[in-house]
Amino acid sequence: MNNNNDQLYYSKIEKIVKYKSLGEIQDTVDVSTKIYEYNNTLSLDQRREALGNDLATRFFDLFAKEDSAWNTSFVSEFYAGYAEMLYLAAKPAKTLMTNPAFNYEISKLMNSSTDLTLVNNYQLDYLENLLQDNAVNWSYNTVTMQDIENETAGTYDFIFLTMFEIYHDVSMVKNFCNALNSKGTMLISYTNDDARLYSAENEYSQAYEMHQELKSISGVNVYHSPAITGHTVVIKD
Amino acid sequence: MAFDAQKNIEYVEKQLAYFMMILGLDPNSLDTVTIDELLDAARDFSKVNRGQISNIYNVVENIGNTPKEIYAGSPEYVFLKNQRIFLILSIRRFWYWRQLALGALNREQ
Repeated sequence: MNNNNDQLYYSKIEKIVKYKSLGEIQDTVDVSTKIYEYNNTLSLDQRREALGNDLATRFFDLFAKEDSAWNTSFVSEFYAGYAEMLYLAAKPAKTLMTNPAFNYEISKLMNSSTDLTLVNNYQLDYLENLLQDNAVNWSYNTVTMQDIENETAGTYDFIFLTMFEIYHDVSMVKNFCNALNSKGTMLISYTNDDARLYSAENEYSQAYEMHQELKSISGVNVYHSPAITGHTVVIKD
Repeated sequence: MAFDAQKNIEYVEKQLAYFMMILGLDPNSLDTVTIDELLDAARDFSKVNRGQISNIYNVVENIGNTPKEIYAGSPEYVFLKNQRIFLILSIRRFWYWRQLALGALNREQ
């Protein structure tokens, strides 16, 4: 999302779609600003050396800026719309989600339409500490990453995670997959590993390895959309 | 059930300890080690010496049914470079998440 061609591309897409429940970009800016301002109250080391140029560590910094390329074009809505589309199509009775602060609007949709379970991580802390208000009656269960590791987190019809949660140990994708019910759908976002997935010698990337882990599981279909930062979808037989 | 700051930090610190052990550092020094020291150790651990390993390489791949010469890093260079990226990205993320976890713990106390 760094050039005029990208902006033009998404401006064309924006004219041909109609989403049911996605929030406005301003909602994302407001959520990100709250979190960005809270982070500034902590003794966070925010030097470039400490954070790198990484969406996982700079997400809220980036999205809090109204003039960010992510906020001034349709790209972010398009990316979030992919998750919304899959979720609405799946109509899950039970859902596991890891990233309610990255996807606040979708998490609100899930909260109102499925038996929702959230993973015990910093995103849940943001949700409870900063984002909840009287406008939404939140109701969800929680599981820990230790539960995921031990495969005691229960089973779900829909699982939405990011690759950030499993990048350090991509074999954990199997644990998430094992928590998926038959006919269930799992969406993993940010799966192109900063586009290393599409480079020559891509088999040395974490993203490639994660996809090989997925493909080694019997009884699942594995799909990948290369748009933006990449979505990978698993549907169980 | 609400957010459990203690379980969150236990998980994050366990992962950081894993990476510290890979780098030959003592996980018990987590409270005193700096992110700069961790990143320096990761860079030393996974040095990519361009003088010894060429990073310029051309390969022929079949794109569709058409052989095409494309620019690529040599396999050994890309392997080492990605190992380095993996270490540094993982350490930076868990360091960041640990700071957030400590913030949550401190808020609760």
